[in-house]
Amino acid sequence: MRFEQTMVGDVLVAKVLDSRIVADVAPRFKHQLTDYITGGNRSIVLDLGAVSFIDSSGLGALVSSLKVIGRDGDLVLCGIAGTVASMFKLTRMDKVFRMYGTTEEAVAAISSDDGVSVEQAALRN
Amino acid sequence: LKDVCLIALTVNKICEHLQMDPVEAYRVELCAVEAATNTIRHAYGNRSDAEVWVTLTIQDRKLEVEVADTGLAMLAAQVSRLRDGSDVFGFDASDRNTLPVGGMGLQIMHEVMDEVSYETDGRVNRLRLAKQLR
Repeated sequence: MRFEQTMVGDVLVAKVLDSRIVADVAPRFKHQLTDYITGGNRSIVLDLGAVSFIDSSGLGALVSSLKVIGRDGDLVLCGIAGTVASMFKLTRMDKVFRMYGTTEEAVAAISSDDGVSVEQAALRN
Repeated sequence: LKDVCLIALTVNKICEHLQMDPVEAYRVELCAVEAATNTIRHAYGNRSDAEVWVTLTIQDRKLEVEVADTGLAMLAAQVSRLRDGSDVFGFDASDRNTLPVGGMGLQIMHEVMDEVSYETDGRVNRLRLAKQLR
């Protein structure tokens, strides 16, 4: 899997450069996200703008990463195409992951969280 | 597993030819991918020499995808989850501990397709998925 990484303050912005996140690449996808997290990144924006297809294996890798990052970190998504967004809706993962149109919006949102996870935010609301 | 994309691309092109709505086309392609992946993983244990036969039939705007293999047959519990559905998506979205990381493929096929069936004659296993197109 190919990624492009940039740091915006304390936020890691990782852009997936491959168009398909499916079973044969899902382990590498998960491994890379886990590396980001164990490397100390607590706020991650994953840009899926180049992704045109994700299956349940890819989704499972994303969910695993969300579990690994724990309550004191967060992983948010941006740039998701309409058809890919329909996959999140079908599986109710649109209720789990926060999704933004652009990286700028995602970075602004995750930066303003001040360490508050989506779980804590949900409890607060 | 890397060759599943060939099935996906073929299904995608056929859906495009049928002028399907993009979301509906994505979901049909997704089901074909989930079915083929499930077969390679479970019937063949990820063997790279696995042979999977995928047949697409379109009649009266009804699309049928059949995925056949000669590996291990699906367990009864899996067939039941495919046919009757499960609560894998009934998680509490605010509690990450309840989120599923696997087992989603069968439920996706159950929810997207109008008809799902699975049969085996002891030699060939056949998973059939059908959807009436709008």
